[in-house]
Parts: sequence; structure tokens; C-alpha cells
Amino acid sequence: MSAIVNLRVFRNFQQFVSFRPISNYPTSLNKNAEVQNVEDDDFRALELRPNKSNNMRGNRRKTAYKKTPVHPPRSNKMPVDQDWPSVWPVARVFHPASVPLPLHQGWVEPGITPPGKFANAELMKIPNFLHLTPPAIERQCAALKKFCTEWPKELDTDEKIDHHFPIQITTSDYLHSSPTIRDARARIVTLQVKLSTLHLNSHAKDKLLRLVKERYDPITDILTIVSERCPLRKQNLDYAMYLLNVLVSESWKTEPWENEKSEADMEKYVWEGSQSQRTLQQLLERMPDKAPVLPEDIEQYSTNVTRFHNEGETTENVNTYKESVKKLLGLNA
Amino acid sequence: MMSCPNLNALVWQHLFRNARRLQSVWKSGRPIVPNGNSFSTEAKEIAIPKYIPRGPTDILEALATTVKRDPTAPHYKFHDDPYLIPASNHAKRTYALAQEAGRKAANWIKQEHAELFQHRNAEPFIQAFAPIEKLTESTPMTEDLLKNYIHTSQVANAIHVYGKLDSAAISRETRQSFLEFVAFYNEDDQLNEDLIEERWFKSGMKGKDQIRQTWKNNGLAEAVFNSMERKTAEAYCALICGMAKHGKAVGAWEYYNQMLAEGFAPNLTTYNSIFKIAGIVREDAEHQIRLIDETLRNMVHAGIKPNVRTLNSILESISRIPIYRVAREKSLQVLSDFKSIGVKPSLGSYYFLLKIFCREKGPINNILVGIVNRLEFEMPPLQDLHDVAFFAEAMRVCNYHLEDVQLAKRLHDLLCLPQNQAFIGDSYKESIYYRCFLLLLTRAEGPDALMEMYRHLVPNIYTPEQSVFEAVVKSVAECSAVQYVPELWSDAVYMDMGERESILEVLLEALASGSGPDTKAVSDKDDVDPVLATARAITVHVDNFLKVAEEKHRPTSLRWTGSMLGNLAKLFLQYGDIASANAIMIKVNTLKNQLSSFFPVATLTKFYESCIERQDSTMALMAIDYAIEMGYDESSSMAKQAREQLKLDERQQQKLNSILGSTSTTPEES
Repeated sequence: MSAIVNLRVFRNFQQFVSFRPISNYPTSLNKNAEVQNVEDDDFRALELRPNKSNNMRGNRRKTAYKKTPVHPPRSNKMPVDQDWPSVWPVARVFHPASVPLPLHQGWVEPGITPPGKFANAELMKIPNFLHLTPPAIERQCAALKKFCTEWPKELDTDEKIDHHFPIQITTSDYLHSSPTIRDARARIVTLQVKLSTLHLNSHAKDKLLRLVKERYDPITDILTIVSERCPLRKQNLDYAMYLLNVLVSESWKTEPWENEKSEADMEKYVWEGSQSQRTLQQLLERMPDKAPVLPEDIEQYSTNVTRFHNEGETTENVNTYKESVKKLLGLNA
Repeated sequence: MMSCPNLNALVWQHLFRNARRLQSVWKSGRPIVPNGNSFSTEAKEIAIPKYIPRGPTDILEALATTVKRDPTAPHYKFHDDPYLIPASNHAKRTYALAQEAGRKAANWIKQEHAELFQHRNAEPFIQAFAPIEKLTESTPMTEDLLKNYIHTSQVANAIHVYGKLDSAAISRETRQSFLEFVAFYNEDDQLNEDLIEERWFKSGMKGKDQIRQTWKNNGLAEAVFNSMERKTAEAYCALICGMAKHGKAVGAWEYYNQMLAEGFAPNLTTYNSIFKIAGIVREDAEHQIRLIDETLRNMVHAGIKPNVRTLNSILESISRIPIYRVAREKSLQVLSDFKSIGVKPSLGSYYFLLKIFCREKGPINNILVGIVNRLEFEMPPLQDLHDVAFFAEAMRVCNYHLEDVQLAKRLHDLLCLPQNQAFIGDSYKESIYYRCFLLLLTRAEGPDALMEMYRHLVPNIYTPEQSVFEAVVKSVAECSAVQYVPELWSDAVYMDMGERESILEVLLEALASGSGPDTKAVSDKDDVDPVLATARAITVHVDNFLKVAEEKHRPTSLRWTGSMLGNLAKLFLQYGDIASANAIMIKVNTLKNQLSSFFPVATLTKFYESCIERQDSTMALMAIDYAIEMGYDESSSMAKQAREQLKLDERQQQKLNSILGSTSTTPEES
């Protein structure tokens, strides 16, 4: 209680009552007084250019209207032990009269005090988190606990979660402060699945990737299917699941025309039956048998060539290729 | 290998087994199937707990329970801005009604220019926001139109359509429902339900004790009734209930007897109405009770089970019985009877019990304690019209009848629960409630506790009336708790009470009741003690007010009084503010005989002594002058003191002599 009482002992009484700055004895009186003072002399002054402002309505008003006294900001009255989450329960634009903190914000020349909190656009523009103080968060979590259920204890690692629940579906709901509650974007459904969980063999995977094209992200190994062609979310969801089913089932099937896959269609470089192999064969046949070429050299060469083609040109790849070529051709000096 | 056609089915099975609703991001996967289709070596089941069902706003309600009241904030309907927070009762009323007037104006524009508001872009469409179809000469008058108007409670339009329709076009059911409609509303349109502020401020000081008759005799309801060839039981019931509701007890009673004579059985609402008017049709208490018993017996015979409204109607009639003993007995008996059939009393019943037991000139009765105990255990829901009158009446009882602070606080705690906020009723009842509460606190609590509650309530929940505010200030004055007076003064100014003489008197009384400045408190040179600052502010305020009033030649009821000036002078002397003290004395001297109460002599002497200490001869002489004019006895001793202790120059010496010469006491030889 003493904390509250101390607040009442204000330094300046003005903090209790702040009258709007009116001069109770209005300026018109003063102006008239000035005019009348001149009359103390014997002669009235002749005004060739009469000062019109003396006749204007603002000057003729005799007394100021009674102006109601204005409260000082209510932050002055707030006790120190008040319940802050009740004062600022939700996200709100900064309101200086309700915040009992002496805040300053704004860039000024060094040495000058930054502007205070009243009418400070800088403070109003930025988001404030006065509604998310730790006690407020604790209280809200405690209130929401009754809607929460336990996390299944078998799912304690991310891998297990991905293993048991590989498909992830994302939908969005939209809230408007407008007469209508509908939003067309609410129908969009995104389905994401990691291809490793589908356990496809190389043919199936290759076929799937060809079908799916840019929807697959090789870095994260995630296939993303976005469905927005149906008017309702439920329909889009069904369609996305159907697509996944169809893709997987089609990729397992082998069509007869797939046998016609030629070297130009290959998605990755394969040593067997490649031009390089044939060239090497021919080379080995034609080369004078100085020294018999070891099969593992050939194998090493083949792996290096494959790696070179598949992974791209890196210094390491090039060097290993170089070494294997040298070994093959017996150029080791 | 997983067989793909089964995937879909299994996935759906899993999803919908446990989930009632789809959440936004969720994972679906292999179902709760032990082994077989699962690729993992672990054959465990993942037990997913059941989804806890929640309504559309349950989460919001849960979050709302974390927010309590903010005492410094204005009511939600006002803007939270220092310039826009109303403090006085008048301002609150004006602001709230002005805002509602804006809504009314918007509604009027919508009705007037209905052709501009025909767009229907709201999804789902809100009927209340669309303009109401105006009834013109060309609108086809059909029975459906009548039914529509009855359904949407548009009384004037319904009556108009009824007048235009042929008697033959209206079916029996429609006629019956129209009769009920007209009887219920008594042919008047009720204030729109959306106009909450107007309803809040409307009730005013209607004497609820007297049933005023507002029923339109030989009006439309009776005409409709008479136009029915065969009067059914429902028609009788409608008419009786309508008449009883609008105060025509005699008519209702006659029709009731007629109904019974024709052998019809009234329904529950009719019986309730009869109970309500029992007190009027039977003057004598004994007869009244006999009538109630008889009617109850009829009800039981007819197999109609009474409800809580029956209980409240009976208690209402009993509360009108002037004989205390009879009323008390009967009411307890009725209460226990109804409890035995399972009807629990509502707050309205408790209201009538209080009226019966805790009469103003009756013996003191503690029934409220029992009632509060029961309410703390279980609060009945809002069921009856009279439920909202309970809290005001209970607090009135606590204050005047029982004078029990603890009980009042318990009652207040009950009201402050969020689910009970609706029970306060309207603004009049609220003001009674808080007035009684605050008055009780001024009598029973010390200044600290009083001020804590005061700060909690004033000015956002309750603006005290002048008498209540004076009581608060007096209570603070009695305990010499001067530290609260600056706050009370500023509140008085905001609540528009700063120009009332009685308020200023008590405030200054309270200010001067302190013991002077706290010398031990360390303060800056520039700091002004709040008490001193308040005194200065009051002086300035009253001076300004009087000056403005004089300029405008307005008569005012506020004048400086001797006691006010005395308290101010005493305070200034206590705090050592000589300049202000001198100003006050000059004022006293100027106003002299215009002051309505005496300037206290003790203060005058004190002032004089301080003048002598400071050797301020002008002021001292003025004081002596005043004392002699007022005819105080001390004037001679003051003059003596002046001669001895004051250094006076020629003129002043002369003046002193002349003053002394004019007195009857013998001047001492210098």
C-alpha cells in the first residue's frame, strides 16, 4: 500500500489537475486596455489605418468559455503493483497515456534528448509486445492447458515422427474484418512428403521424378503437391492424396515403351554401354601391349568417369580422373 | 512392399478415427496397425490421445478469463483518451447517449434512403443490417405480412396491417397470436433491443412498488378478443396476462373469473399473473393469503407445475402485505413448499424476501447473511425480471438496515465475478448500489481502506453524488488523513463538483485538519507540498469562478464563507505561506460582513501573532481593525500587544491610537 501512497505525493501539483492552457483573462481585455491607455493622453490618436483586428470577433469576446478540466494521463494513477496483463490484454497500437514508462524514441543530434512518448509516431509505428510479458504468457498458457492433450511419448525424435507420419498437409484460414467470411485462398491444400519414405526403386524414382518435374526439391528430398483446382478444401485434399497415389502407382509400373529409353534420355551417366567404354575398348585393342591393363584400373577409370559426368567438374574429380587416365595409359613417370 | 491402392484407405482411416476436425498443419501416415504393413522394425502402436472438443469461441473465452478489471481505465464504451474520459455523471450519460445517437442516426439514414443500401455483399447475409421494408399504401396486405410483423415485433405496422385486412382473411391461429402480441405490448412499440445505452439509462426512478395502470381500456386487445366468435382458453389467457402486466388488475380478475366460470383451465403464465395481482384484488391480508392458497390448489388440480416465476409472483404479492408477522410466516412457508417440489429460488425471490423481512421501520433481520451464504455456494442463473433488483436492494439493506461491512464486501465480491456482472440491472440501480456501499464504507472503515475502495470505484465505475462525496471527505477529515485531500479535490473538479459551497467547506475542513508540514520529509526546494498546493489551487479556483460570474453578471450560489477562509488561513499559517495568508486576510477584511459564517477568532489571533513575529505592521493593524469592527473581545489585548511589541512609524502610530480611541477599553499610558 505504501507504494501506492507514495505516488500520491506528487512533486508538482499540476499532475493532478491540468487545466488547458487558457488565459482566463483573455487577451481581448489586454488589447482593449492598450487601446484605452492611449486615452490617458489628452487627445485620441487618429487611426488612419484602423487596426482591424480589434474589431474582429475573436477580440470582442469578453470572457473565455469555461473549459472542462482535462485529466492528466492515467499512467500517473497506476499503482506499481497493478495487473499489467489486464491493462494491455491484446496487441494494441502504442498508447502513451496508458503506459507508465518514460519512453523516448527517435534519432536526434547527439546530446539532445530524444522525443518523449506523447505523439511519438516512431513509437506508434513499431510493433510493441506489451501484451506478451512473461506473466501474461504464463497465464494464457495455463488457461489454454485444458484444451491440450499429451504428446505421444513414442514420438520423441524427429526421425520417428517423419517415419510414422511422413505426409504433411498445410492449409490456411483467413480472417477478415469485413462483411464476408469467405476467402478464396482457403481452399488451397499443400501436400509434402519425403521421397525416402516411399521406398521406391531406382526405376520408380526416376519415373516419378520425370512425372513430377519441378515439384521435387533434391536438397530436402521433399515432393510438394499444391492443389487449388477444386472449389472446396476437402475436394482439394482428396485430389492431392489421389495424385500421390497415382504418381506412386504409375511409377512402379513399367510401360512397354520404356524399353526405348536411349542414351539421350538417361538421367544420369552410366558406364555400361557408353561411348567412353567403347572408346576405351577400342583403345585397349589398338594399343601395343606394353603392359596388360589391370581390370581394377579400368574399373577405377570407369568410376571416375561416371563421377565426373554425374557430379560435375570439381578439382578433386578432375584430379582423380587425371590419375586414373595416367594409370590406364601407363603414363606414370 | 507397400501396396499403394491401400494407402489411401488406410490413411483416411487413421485420420478420421481420432480427429473431429482438420487442423491446419498435420501429419498423416501409417495407421495404428501393429506390424504387417509397417516398414519399421518396431511393432509399437502410436497412441494418439483423443481430440478435446471445443466450441467456436471456447479458446477466446478461456483467454478472456485471464484478464481482470483495470481500475484506471474507463468503461469499454468510452474512448481511452485523457481528453475523452467522462468523469461526472452528466458527462457519462451524454457521451454514451451521444454515441448511441450516432448509431440511431445511421439507422435512420439507412431506413430513409433504403434504395442506396440494397447491395448484398455480406456473407453470410445479416438481416438486421438490411433496411426494413417500409409499409406503404401499395404493399399488399396479406396474412403472411401480419405474421412477419408479429414475428419481428413491429407493433405499429402489425396493427396497421390488421386494420387493413378483412376479418375473414385471418386464420384463428394468427388471430390468437395477434391477440397475444397486442396484449403483451399494449399497442406500444418497445425500445429497440440494440439501443442498449438508452435502455441502460432509462429506468430512472419509477416507483416499482406501485403498479401503475397503463393498460389501454377498451383498446385493440379487447376488440380483438371480442371479435373472436368462440373464445378459447388461450385467448382468455392472453388477455388476462396482458392486463395484469400493464396494471389493470381489476379487469384481469374479472376475466379470470369469467374464464373459470366457462370451465377453461388457465395456463402457467396466467396463474403467475393472478398471483401478481392478488394483493390488489384482495385488500385484506387474510383474504389475500386464502386466495393464493386457493389458486395454488387449483393449479395442482389442473396438473400444472409451478416454476420460479410463480414463486416470485407470490412473494411479490406477499411483500405488499403490511402486517409483518403474517408476511414473514407466509413467505417462509411458500419458500419451503416450493423447495419441496424442486423449484429453486432465483435472485428475484431473494429480492422479495429482503423487502419482506428487512423493512425500514421493522425489526432488524439477518436473513441476508443466509442468502449471501447460499449465493456464494451457488448463484442461480438469470431467470426473472426482478433478479436485477436484488443487488441494489441487498446493498441498501447492508447499509441502512444491518450496517454490516463484511457482508457488504462479500456481496460486492459476488457481484464482481465476471458471470454475475449482468445482475446489476441498469444505471439507477447501479448508482443506488454503489452509493449505499460507499456510505457504509465511510462509516465503518478507516481512511486507508476507504480510499482504496474509493480509488477502485471512482470515477470509472461510479461517480458519487454530492452527499456521498461529502461523507467521504468528512470521514477523511475525522481521521486527519490530509494526504488524501489533494486527490479528493482533483476528483471533485473532474466530477463537476468544484463549485459547490458545501463540498468546498468540507474539503477545506479536511485540509485544515492536518497537523502541518512533515518536517522530516526531505524535499527539493522547488517541491510544493501537495496539501499546500491544493489550498492554493482552491483559492485560485474560487476566485476565478467568482470573477467570471461577476463579469457575466450571473448570480451564483457559491460565496466565500468565514469558515472556508478560516481554514485556508489556518493552513497557510501552518505551512508558513505568508503571502497567501496575507491575501486571505485582505479578502476577509474586504468582504467583512458579506461572509455568511464567522471567521474563527483563533485563526485571527494566530495570524496576528505571526504578524507580530515578523513585525509586519500593516497586516497587524489591519487585523486589529477587523477585530474591533467585528467586536471581538481580544481586540484590546491585541492592541496592547501591538503597542508593546510592534515597531510602528508615525502614521501607523496615529492609526493605532485612533483605533484604540474608538474602543471602549481604557488605553494604557504609553
